[in-house]
Amino acid sequence: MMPHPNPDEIKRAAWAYARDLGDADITGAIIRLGDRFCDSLSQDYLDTAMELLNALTGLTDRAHPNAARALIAKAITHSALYSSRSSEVNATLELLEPWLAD
Amino acid sequence: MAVCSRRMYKEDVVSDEYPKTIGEAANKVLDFVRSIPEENLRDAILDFYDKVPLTRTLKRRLMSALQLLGREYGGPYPEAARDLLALSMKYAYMEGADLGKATNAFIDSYPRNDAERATYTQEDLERLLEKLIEGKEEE
Repeated sequence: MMPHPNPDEIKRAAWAYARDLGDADITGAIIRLGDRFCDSLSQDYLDTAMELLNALTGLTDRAHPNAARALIAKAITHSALYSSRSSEVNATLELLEPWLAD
Repeated sequence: MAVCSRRMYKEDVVSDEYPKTIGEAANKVLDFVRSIPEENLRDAILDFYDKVPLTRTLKRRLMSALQLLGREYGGPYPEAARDLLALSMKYAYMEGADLGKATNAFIDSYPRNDAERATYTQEDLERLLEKLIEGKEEE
């Protein structure tokens, strides 16, 4: 098992994960992560990311894919660092493993 | 001179009219958020957060907006934060009742010049965040 990464490494890996998502993959990633995360703050970040993606807001017609990526990274970082469930922390670190190794 | 309330609003005349439809409210919200200069966006979001009795969901959305104004994760993303403020205000109108009234009053009374606008320090931010975290523990 890999040593537990420090917060900066997790942040960097989460952002690398989110940046690697193609525009067409962001929605799917939000849904998959939403199924995986239990932490309510992480869920909130993901919900907001979804709203930033398209006209779900019904208010502005601007999409903000990069801001959505930032909130996805924020949600992942939060789950990896602060989730009260060790299973969620471990699953999140597993998800990040390819980017942690970079 | 006959002008509609939206136009009066643009001309810095405070209107105490409450929007009659969600569409009207959405237009009012958009005019308002677009009038906020980028450098005042953070204070405007915090001011709304501080003064209007928001639901936890709306508070969390505004917290996301504040995060997007930071430098983390390739930020800042001011236009995304602006749209999240707009969305929160529209939802507040849709909620109606006291929340809708408070949001309407907030927009109508928001100072038009820099000197009168509320500014928030790092300590204020932490105090507001603490309120949010306490709210979570009450669940």
